Amino acid sequence: MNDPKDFPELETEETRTDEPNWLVRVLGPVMWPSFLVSALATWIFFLAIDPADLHAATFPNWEIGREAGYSIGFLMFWAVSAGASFLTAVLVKRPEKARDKGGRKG
Amino acid sequence: MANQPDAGESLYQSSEKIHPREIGGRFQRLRVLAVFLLLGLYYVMPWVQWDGRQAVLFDLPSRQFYIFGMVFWPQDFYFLSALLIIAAISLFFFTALAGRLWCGYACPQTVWTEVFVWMERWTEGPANKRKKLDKAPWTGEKIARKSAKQAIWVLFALFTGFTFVAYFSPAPELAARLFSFSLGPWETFWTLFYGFATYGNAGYMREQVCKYMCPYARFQGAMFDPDSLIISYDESRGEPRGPRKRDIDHRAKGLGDCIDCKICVQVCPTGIDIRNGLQYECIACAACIDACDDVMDRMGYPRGLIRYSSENAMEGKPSRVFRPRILIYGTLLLLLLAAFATALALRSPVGLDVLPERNPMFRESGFGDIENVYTLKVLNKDSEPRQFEVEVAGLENMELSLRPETVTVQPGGVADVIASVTVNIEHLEGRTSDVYFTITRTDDESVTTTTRSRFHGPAQ
Repeated sequence: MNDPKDFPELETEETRTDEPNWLVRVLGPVMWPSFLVSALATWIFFLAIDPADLHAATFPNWEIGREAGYSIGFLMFWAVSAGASFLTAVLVKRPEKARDKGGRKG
Repeated sequence: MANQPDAGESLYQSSEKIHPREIGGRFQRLRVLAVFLLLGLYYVMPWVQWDGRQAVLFDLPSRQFYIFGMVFWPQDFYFLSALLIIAAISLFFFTALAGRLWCGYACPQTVWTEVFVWMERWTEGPANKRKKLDKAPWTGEKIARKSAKQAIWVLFALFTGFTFVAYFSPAPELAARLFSFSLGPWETFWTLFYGFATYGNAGYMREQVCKYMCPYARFQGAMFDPDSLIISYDESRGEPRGPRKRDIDHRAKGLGDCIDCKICVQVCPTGIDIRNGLQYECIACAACIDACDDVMDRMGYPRGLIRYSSENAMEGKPSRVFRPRILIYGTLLLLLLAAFATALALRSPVGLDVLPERNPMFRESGFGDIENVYTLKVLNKDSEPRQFEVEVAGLENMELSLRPETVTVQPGGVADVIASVTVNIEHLEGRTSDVYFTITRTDDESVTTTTRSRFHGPAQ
């Protein structure tokens, strides 16, 4: 035992559970890398293409300014890349075998 | 262990919140300095004016980027690409040299988390008090403390989101619109989005972003080598660890310098035990170094049981700073920086592309006159509309006619000019000759650029 007089702030040993919840374990690695990739995609895409031109060529009757164009473009890229990442996350997790859940353990 | 979750439960078990014990020390002072420097820069920059406009403004609606005195257009994208490459190589260089400096001192995740933990400390008290408060029933005091924390967090997060938008929309006008509740829908969206991301990442996710979401944490192994500086526990000095009274001769009792007080674990924001060796969770914040040094001081042992060191140094082998990896990264970095600075300094505010007409390549008129037609693409990178004069040189007695006759280019715009050049066949040197088109701004002769093209004629 260390002398409590030397270390008055010391507490008893503590334990931490180390498993994060589903939100962090799956949604985090899906949303964050796809966010990065879609930021890159948005940047490259709109370097070459002016959203105002895109607007004129697609839905000229709708009122979409450049600001909205950039935002919509980014969100679309993000939706697509997050979709792909999510499917990957689902596929990477190996399906549990039925017998693991059943009562044949013992 | 009573709170060990069942295997089935673990999927949805929320990990227990880590309340890192606060610690002072030289590395922590350095980190606080980094927080003030980086966040100060972030929050102040949108309010800095330069030449009558916001110093750093990414004006998306008009597709131009202002960075101090310079204006960038989508055509200048290679500057931004080069900057990203330089940033990536810097990351490799500094990681190889001194480990995860980025994570410990500069990553926005670390920096904002630090600030959010300060706010938690102001409202809920130090770490051990926060732990008790989390477990305590909902009394009036708990409600008051938790709501105060939430209020500060939310306000700070919203201010962060607002500042983010202010890099894209001029800050003073944006603030005026905010206070008259007339923000545009996308301004509102991005303020809330960025604010919420800050709130979630810095308030709740914290070290889990580093552990489960950050790609760099997984790549770093490839950037390290045995000479990289990492935060390491000196096993040969510390083991066998064990508690003891301060005044005893621990060597005589067969003990190492580690008194197994576990303060290094308690201060760790990612909740690891550095004594188990280098782990990918370690963000190199050096909190354990400061904590352990403090303990060593109090025990009267020399500092540095946990310290910045390299794998080789720990094993008693010589540690080299200048090794091929560092030299290659370093040279590459210096070259790129030099090239970038040169390109920036030589960057012309005008651009000229010359496209010769191919079909037909030339026309013959009477009296031996040969005509070539070109499309000139004149690019104005300035933020004002500009007029240009066009000249052509390379052959004797060239006649130039332009359509339109005056070349006016909008800011950031490209004007197409049809240039017809006529030369008598007696002045031609062969089937093709070099010709040089020069554009010059009418009000400033120093703004000029020349582009070479070819003049085609009949076989002689």
